[in-house]
Amino acid sequence: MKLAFFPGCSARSSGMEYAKSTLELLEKLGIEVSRHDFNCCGTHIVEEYSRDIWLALNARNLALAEESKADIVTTCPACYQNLKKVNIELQDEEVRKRVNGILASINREYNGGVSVFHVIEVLSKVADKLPQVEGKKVAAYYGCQILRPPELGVDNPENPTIFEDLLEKVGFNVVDFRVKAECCGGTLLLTNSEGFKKRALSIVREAKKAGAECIATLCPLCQFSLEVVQDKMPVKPFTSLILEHANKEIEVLK
Amino acid sequence: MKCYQCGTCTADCTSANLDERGEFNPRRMMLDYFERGELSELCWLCASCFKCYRCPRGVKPYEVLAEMRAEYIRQGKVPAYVKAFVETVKSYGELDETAFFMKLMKSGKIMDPSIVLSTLKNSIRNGGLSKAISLPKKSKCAKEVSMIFSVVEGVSPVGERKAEKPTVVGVPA
Ligand code: SF4
Ligand code: SF4
Repeated sequence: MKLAFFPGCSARSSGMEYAKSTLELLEKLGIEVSRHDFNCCGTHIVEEYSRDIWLALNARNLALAEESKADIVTTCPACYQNLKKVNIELQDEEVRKRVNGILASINREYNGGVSVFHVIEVLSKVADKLPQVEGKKVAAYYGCQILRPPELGVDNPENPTIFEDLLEKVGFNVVDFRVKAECCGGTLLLTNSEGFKKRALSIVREAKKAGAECIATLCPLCQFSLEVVQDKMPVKPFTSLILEHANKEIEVLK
Repeated sequence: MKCYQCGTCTADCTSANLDERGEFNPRRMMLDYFERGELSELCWLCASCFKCYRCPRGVKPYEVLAEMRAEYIRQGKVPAYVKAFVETVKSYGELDETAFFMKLMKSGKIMDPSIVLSTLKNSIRNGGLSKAISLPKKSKCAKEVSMIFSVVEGVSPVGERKAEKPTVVGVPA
């Protein structure tokens, strides 16, 4: 399976570390990913502004992957959700025809042949090959968009385990984290900054109560939110955590 | 209508739980919308956390609130951050954070200074000064993205004739 890496806009700045460590980990595992001239997924903001623009933006990204016969893997749950949602809509021939009508202006076409993955799905499949780490106590924090709405998520939103399973397999000591699938408040940054701070701090507080030495994230917005409101509890993208604490060389997958 | 007013969506709701005055109430906002077509500006405060997916009647409140926001946009009532976001994507191809914040400031939107400060501190800690203060940069795809915008907007300028009205789950049958 060929994979195209979709970094998402945040990888240009606030999510740089997450994207970098993911690429490094994938490379060390021998999982090759191709890089493309991807555009912004638009998020729900562009979806609400103009559905057709939002459909076409995501269709362009899917078309780019399809041109090189690759599936998409992304670090960002928002991009994951938008790409997946549009991909489902574009399985309908009529919608696809209409959206391809827009893409014709940039000489592109999407035929519906790409699958979209989040990096947690890809790494979970090769968890046995991941390096073993020292048993640090971590809280696995999912946030929202990787789980909800359920038809677009990676695991059962009521009791997800994919993240803990992966972290435990590599040797982390994963604490019981009550608020693991609650919202970090990040989307409120511009509309309700007090609410944003309150929310993000409450997640950090719960992690501390649960005995965590560090919070592991899988979303660049969660990472930003939990990190920016405080500096006592370390918050790290899970791929960085694995790389940092690996105590043996990573085996290249055959 | 599909909604039977059980309040599950509101009990689970991130934004409702943050609002001590109890004004943010998706159940009530949706009722006003379904019954009288009334929009509530509070829809802009939805965290898009999708906790309300648990609705036992399959209403998808997050989609109803999204439809309210889309309706505001169709009426030309577009919040500054939405405008700045869309314009940045349109001309840069990606959400260049520097360009986005410059546009926001230009529009007169005041950011919480404590957040601005800690964002800066945080960026410096993570990637050094160059990451914290980088000039806006267009992505390679910017041309194609602008083209997509002009093709679609040429057909239906936003706020006037919208291309397609999404169907909302939960509107009265
Ligand atoms: S998506 Fe919006 S309405 Fe639904 S639970 Fe979250 S904040 Fe509340
Ligand atoms: S939208 Fe669903 S969860 Fe909310 S009050 Fe109505 S029936 Fe209950």
